[in-house]
Amino acid sequence: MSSSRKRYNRSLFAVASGRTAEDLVALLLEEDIEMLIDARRAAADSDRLETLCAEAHTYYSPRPELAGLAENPRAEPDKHHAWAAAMAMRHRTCVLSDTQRVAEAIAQLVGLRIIDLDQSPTPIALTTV
Amino acid sequence: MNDFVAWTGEPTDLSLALTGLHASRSYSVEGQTFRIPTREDYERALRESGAIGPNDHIVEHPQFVAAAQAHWHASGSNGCVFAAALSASRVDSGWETYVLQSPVVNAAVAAHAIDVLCRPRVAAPEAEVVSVLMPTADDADTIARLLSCLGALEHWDVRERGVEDVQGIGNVVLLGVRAEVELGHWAEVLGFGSFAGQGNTRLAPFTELAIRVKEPPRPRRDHRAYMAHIPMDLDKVEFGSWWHDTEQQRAARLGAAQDARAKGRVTFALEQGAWERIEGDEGMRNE
Repeated sequence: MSSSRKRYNRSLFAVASGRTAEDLVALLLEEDIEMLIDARRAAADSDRLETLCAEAHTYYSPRPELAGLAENPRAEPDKHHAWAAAMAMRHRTCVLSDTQRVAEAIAQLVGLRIIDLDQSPTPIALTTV
Repeated sequence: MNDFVAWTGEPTDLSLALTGLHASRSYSVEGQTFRIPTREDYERALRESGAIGPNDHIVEHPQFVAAAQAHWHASGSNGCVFAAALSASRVDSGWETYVLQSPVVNAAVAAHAIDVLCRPRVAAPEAEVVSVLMPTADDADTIARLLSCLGALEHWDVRERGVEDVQGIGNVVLLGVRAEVELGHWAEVLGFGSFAGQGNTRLAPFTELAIRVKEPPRPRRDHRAYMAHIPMDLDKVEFGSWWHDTEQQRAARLGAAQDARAKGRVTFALEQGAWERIEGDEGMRNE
């Protein structure tokens, strides 16, 4: 009957736009990401991402409303900002955006640290000889 | 929130008061007898300990109603090892309890109040389960009307999951309640209370809707969310062991005869007459 149950994350992953949907989802799988929040203002590949994420058992949530955080990251949080922060606390989450400032604004709201998905180490593979 | 008293305690808060608790209800399944405490047992123990007055009723004390129900879960009476552990550490587990202060006179009003209570808890990261206790809603007609009204609300779904002919009771309708949570998922709601037809693992002292208010860690094709998704910090061996123990407890307490009535998809098993009496009552939802 543990009383030290770990229910919240400490980190939020961030990834910049620019790679193919296939490459991005492969990266998410490597980091065991549960949820991708798409905070780009325009996302031509959102249908493809939705399909690939579904196949990868990963939530995909397009939230263009969050793109505005890039211009005004310290604005009073609105419902979209609060929603993304609450989700990031509970799910191993990655924010896809044109600038990392969006993820930073979300992380700051609930005290998460940012991990750049491009610079995150890949999981160590344990092999038997 | 004025309709509800929020309880933020732990079942151990009642440890001293319940030293004299005697479980008077028993049931036997395939030769094995189980004893479970009733509302009257908790009331008696609380009186004897002086926690409530000699003429007081437990339903007049929402905090004791909540603590007694939490104790019932934590003591393993519901047959689920996971639920027992979660109930033993309510605050850590994010299992919130709200006691409806007034009787369910108007089912539509009560259903609306439950919806208003639950919606913000769906969004709150700290909430895993919201239990709504209705200490005076003890008859099947009242619950049937409440469920019908809940099912008419936007974020709720109530449907029949089958009918069983139960010896000594007659036809019992299996009703499944689901609540919409985030990301397109629907959470199965567990119902507890001492109604005729309920499976043995649901015979709690007070009527309760236990609502899982979170989506699963990863999306499911069937969009189902349920209690087993609650984070527990168990390693695979522990998880497997608890799962095995739960399966054994469940089988022992329910037997084959009650298995369907206590599945996760079934919230309440009520006498069919109670459900039929409210069906077709078109005016009821607009009371």
